[in-house]
Amino acid sequence: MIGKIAAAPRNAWLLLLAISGLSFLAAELMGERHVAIAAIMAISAAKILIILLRFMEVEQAPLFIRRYLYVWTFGIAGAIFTLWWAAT
Amino acid sequence: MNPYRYARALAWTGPLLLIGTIIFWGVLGQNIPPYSPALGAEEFAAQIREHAAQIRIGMIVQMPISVMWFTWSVAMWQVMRAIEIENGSNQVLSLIQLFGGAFTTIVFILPCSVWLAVAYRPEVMDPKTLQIMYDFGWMFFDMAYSLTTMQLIAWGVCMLQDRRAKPLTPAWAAWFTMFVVVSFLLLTMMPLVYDGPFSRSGLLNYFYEFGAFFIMWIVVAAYTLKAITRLEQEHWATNAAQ
Amino acid sequence: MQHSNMAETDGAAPAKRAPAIWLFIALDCTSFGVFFLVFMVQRLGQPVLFDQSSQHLDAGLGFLNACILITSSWLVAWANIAGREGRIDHARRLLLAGMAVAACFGVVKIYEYYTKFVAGITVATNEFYTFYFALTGIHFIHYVGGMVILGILAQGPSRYMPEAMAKASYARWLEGGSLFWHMVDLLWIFIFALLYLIGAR
Repeated sequence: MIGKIAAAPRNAWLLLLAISGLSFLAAELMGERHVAIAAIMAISAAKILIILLRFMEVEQAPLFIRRYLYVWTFGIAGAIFTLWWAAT
Repeated sequence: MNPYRYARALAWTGPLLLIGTIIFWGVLGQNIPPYSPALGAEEFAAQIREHAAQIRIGMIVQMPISVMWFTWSVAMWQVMRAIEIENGSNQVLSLIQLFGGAFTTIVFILPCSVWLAVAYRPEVMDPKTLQIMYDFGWMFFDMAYSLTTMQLIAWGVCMLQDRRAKPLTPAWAAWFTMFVVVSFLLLTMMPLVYDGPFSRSGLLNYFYEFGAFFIMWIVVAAYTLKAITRLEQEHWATNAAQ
Repeated sequence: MQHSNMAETDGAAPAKRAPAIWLFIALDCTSFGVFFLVFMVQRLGQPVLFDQSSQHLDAGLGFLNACILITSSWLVAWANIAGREGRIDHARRLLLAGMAVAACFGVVKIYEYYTKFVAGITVATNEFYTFYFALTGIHFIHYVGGMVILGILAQGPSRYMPEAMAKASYARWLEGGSLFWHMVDLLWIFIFALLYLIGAR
């Protein structure tokens, strides 16, 4: 669904601004830190995915690089959350 | 005359220096990893006194063999020159690379003389004097990175301009090399901290940077040797009749 | 955003050329990934210090900078589309607009550094701030490099080369330059989350 909404670059821009606001609010306001951090990292990964797909047209990149960048995005977001969890 | 005469021997000095550096600068020189800047002067001096003999041997050998960085750069220069002549004889990149290689040789030699001085008579020296000398060696060794960055950026750009269907050096190797030498920018943090990952013995500025540098060294050395083989074959294929 | 007309303008070139800038992006992302992980590993032993230090950062400014970069990146994405369709002047205007928006990022960042220095906070204050200055500093170098590239691209195709050659070369550089600029945007998203958000409150 995100793919369709973000299909036009204009929509991608608005979507990116909106979810950036969400992650900012999550960090500032949400009381349950585990949920907040999970949300922040999930939103970060989603934003990066939108930039990769809509702005960078990653689908035109060589297959191994495209796959690597997907793995990188979710791997880093997941690892940051896991390491945050491990420190609590 | 074969324009690639001597080239193969010169290209082998790269891997040779790599092995020598690991043994003499690294293992004997107590540089895997180096002494942390967080060590107190007394503790540092005690370490140096204990290992003075082996550090001296390491540096005594490392200083003269470091000249091989230059001879290896000349082999890289021969490959670059071949590409540049095919592309219209603009020889700027090979010139920059050669000077970068010559200057980098100094970066190998000078700090070793400083560490040699540290290990010369540590038992009679003031620990703080030993420490500042050792720091000085590392400041020069790490912070003169722009000379090497200049050398290998010029090399990488030149390799990307090779118009062969199968280039002498693949694009990934050129980009990887340029990426490694640009990442030396991280060393900017090294003189600002005394501990942690950005210090001279830390996770990022030692293990990551030097690890990447040594892998890059192997990559460049391997493709320089391969390129010289191919250039020689090309030369004899077109000049067989003469 | 379709690439379908690329093949006609560039012939066989994209297959050979495309991996280069993408490879650089993958490598650069990898090294930033390493820094992020090292940051989190160093945080393991001292989460309280890291969180307290993080609270001294102004998350609002970080958020503002994220919005600035997203907007600039979006304008540059349009510039790339315009350039690909041959509307060079339109592309140049969009590039200038993208640079004008992005200039605010630099102003905010320098203001932020200034407030830290005035408050007596430096690289040596604690490990969090070492990372703060290193990560944002390396990102800032990328930003400055990106601005220079956009500035050169905003000059349009070379006037000295034969026209067809200049246009083909311009399209390639515009593509590579905008990809680099998007990466600058993309990296800020993780840096923003890492330094400003997860330790907030």
